[in-house]
Amino acid sequence: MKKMKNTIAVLSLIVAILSCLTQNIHGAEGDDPAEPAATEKPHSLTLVKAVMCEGIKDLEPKNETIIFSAELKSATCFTAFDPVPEKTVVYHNWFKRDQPDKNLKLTLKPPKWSCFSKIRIRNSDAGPWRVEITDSDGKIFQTLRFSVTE
Amino acid sequence: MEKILIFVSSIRWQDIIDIAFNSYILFRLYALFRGTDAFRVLLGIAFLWIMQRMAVSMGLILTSWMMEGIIAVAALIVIVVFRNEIRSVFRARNIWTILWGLPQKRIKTPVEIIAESVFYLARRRIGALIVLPGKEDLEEVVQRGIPWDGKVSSEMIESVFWPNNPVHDGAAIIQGNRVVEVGVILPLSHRKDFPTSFGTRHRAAAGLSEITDAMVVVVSEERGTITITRGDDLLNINEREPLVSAFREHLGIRENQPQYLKRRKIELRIAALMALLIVSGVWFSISRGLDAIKTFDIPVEYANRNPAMELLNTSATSVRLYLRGSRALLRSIRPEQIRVRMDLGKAVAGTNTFAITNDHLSIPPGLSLKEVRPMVLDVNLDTRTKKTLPIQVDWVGKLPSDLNLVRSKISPSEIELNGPKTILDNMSTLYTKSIPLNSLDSSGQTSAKVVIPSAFLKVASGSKEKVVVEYEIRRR
Repeated sequence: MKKMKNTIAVLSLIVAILSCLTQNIHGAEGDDPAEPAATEKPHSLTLVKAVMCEGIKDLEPKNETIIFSAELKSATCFTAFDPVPEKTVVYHNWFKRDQPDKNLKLTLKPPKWSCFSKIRIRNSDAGPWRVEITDSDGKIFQTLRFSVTE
Repeated sequence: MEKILIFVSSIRWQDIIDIAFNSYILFRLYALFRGTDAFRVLLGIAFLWIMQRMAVSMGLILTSWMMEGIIAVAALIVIVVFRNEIRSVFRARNIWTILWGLPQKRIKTPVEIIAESVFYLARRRIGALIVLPGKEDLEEVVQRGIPWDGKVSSEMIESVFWPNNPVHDGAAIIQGNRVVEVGVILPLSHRKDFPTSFGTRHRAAAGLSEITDAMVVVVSEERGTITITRGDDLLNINEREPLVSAFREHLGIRENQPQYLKRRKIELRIAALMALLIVSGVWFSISRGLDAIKTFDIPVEYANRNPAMELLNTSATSVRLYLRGSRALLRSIRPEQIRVRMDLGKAVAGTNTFAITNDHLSIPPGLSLKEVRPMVLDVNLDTRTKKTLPIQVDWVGKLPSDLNLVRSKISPSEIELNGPKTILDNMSTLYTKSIPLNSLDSSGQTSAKVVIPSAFLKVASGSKEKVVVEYEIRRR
């Protein structure tokens, strides 16, 4: 029985490491910067932070901005959810001037989870953009707006 | 025989009315202006017009141009020169007479009484000036005297010119059997070939005759002679009979009046028939002449659109019509006389396809549709709706590398638009006009206009097209 518990613990550790290695998902209970101040947590999936940034460093968004020069080569959308009642997915839907560009599916795991999506940008992508963060039913949590400049 | 039947069956009731109406107008013009100088000149112009058409058909370019010019000038001259005659035709008659009435039997002027009075006055050496108007109106030519309106009698005429009468120096105008005016001042003639024996009375009589068709009788006070003037002619009369004959000729009084009236009736019937033949000839030459086809590009009109719907676009804004008809008729048609009208009363939201048929066309009579291109029209309609859309800033240019624009806030953040549903359904964001980043170096605010991407969209009342953008810039 004890051996079985150890096996489960090892497997859990492996899953956690693999999750951290996956590019799109960064999440850890202790180091989430989007910890809500409220004492009473809601019971449904809640978006606590959504920002556009130039990159991710130490599981945190680096250089929040709404202007992305094409020289940066990429734009990143960071989101944090707390709580995450059950394993689920959310979508980062990228639009360039009202036209869908990319739909990225991101997996969330309880109890809370942070994740990001990233796109490559070029000179030809200059113009206004937006990212709609939705759940699996298409309900929009938040829309982030930014511009890509040459 | 078959051809005649086909031809007769192709005549519409409108064509019959067309010919009858214009024939009647031509006949009325003849009846009203017959015998006047204006009518003779109009006949001359009509002849010139026929010559001009012949010149055109024979390809005589210069002649046809010249004729055209002469006709235009002549028409103008007729109105200017014969204005008195034209006016007297329309003024002397009431509207019923102009439209319908035939020349009535005139009230007979008692020429014998006038002649007798004239000779009486001559014998007594009493000067007199009597005007017998023709068809022209004298109102503009003479200086009006005193209205008299007395029935013609020897005593009446003699008393008017009696030396002690205050009006005896002026002229008396006799119309029908009435002395209508006395003491009338006539225009003087400027002729230099007058006999020295002629005085002012003679000069006044000649002056009026020269410029009108009136006949004037002068009785010389000094010599007791009688002179009549008509046109440029002056004639001394010594006997009663030639004077009566001159009066009769001038006033159109025939010895045998019933026969004259009968002849007049026949003449009018012939005139009516001629008018009918001329108009029929012109009508047939215009509407049934050589068949030709001409193309017209006509803009399409859309009517009866549901006010709740917007006309978004159509597959064509105009259609090309190939119309068939006589060359003369086609040449005279202007595009404004043709209409293509689509009824959108039953149109629904979305694309509606209409086949263009004769029912949609309004073309002048005598022409028929040979072909229409395109044959169908697609008309896109949409219902109007309102939608509130968020506004996003369209940043352009480059921010200095040590600066970072971390956030911006737009006020108001959204505006309401009114427009076609399909357009609004496909829109989720409105963008501002481009705001350059190059000049920004610290946090601040600016204003920008919102770009409305379609002319069909209107900003709903209460919403603003201009927004204020607050932005926050941080150093990296």
